[in-house]
Amino acid sequence: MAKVAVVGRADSILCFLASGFRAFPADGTEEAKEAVRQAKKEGSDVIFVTPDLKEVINWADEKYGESVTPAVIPLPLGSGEAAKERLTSFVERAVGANILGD
Amino acid sequence: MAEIRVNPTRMELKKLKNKLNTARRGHKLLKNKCDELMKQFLDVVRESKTLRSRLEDDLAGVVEEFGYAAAETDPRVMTEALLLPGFEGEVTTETKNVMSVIVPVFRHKDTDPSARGGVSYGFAFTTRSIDAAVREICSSTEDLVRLATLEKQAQLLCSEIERTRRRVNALEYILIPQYTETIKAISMKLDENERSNLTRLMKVKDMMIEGNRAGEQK
Repeated sequence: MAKVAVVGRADSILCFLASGFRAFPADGTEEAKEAVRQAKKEGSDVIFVTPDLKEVINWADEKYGESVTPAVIPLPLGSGEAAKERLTSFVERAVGANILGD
Repeated sequence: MAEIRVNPTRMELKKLKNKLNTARRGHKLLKNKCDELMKQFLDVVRESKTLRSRLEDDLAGVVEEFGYAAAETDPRVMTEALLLPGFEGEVTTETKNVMSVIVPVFRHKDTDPSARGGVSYGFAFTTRSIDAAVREICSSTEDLVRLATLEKQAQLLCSEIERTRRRVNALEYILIPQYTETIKAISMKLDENERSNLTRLMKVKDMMIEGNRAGEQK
């Protein structure tokens, strides 16, 4: 049985404690990367990262992109521009152009 | 297109023809695989996009409620209230084979959160904003886990499509034309040899006839 972890600024992720997720508060990029590593080490298969930590998401995509676990996913908070860009980049890589629009 | 440097023999020709057949069969299979992967990928991406925008709308209210709750309550009380959740944030990880790509399927352990009793803190020291937010976030947990599954699947399928497309293109634009060119070159060379041999034989025959004629005249 694997855990679900949430990495990000303490005030944004505190609410996810309520659903039983493990919170890894991190302020800067480096701190967040370390938190992701730690979460993986402690057996989290799903790691949500707040969308303001865009660099961490890109770093995790490179590091864990080819492996089945962990899934490092931007949290659906705020406008979600970073997450949309991420999905668009998947479509562009696979199809060659953004055929889904917006 | 540069042809492969091989000896122009019948043996090589046969080998190359077999290789060309295999390459054509592989190309057809990989192209079909790529098409099917693309179909699956686009379904996953569409679903993921819809789910994400729905979750964004749902969670926007939650963050707002938590903001109010955090402003009204002592941070230590807040942390204490949320420290022991009423739900297990655990998932089971299964794998699924999509066109020989292994993708994860995460399943939330609690399929029915209401069965576990909801909030796990006392109402004496917390505000009412937190209750609604906790309820909302607990009902979104399953969707969050589903979103993680979909986005991870999209990521893995995208890498596989990229790789398969490269293979299809390499076969279609490099390997198959190379084999075809080489087969053509070898066939031409063998035909040329055949013709030159035939000409030589005809010449020899002519010379022998000439020789016979000259012998008869003497």
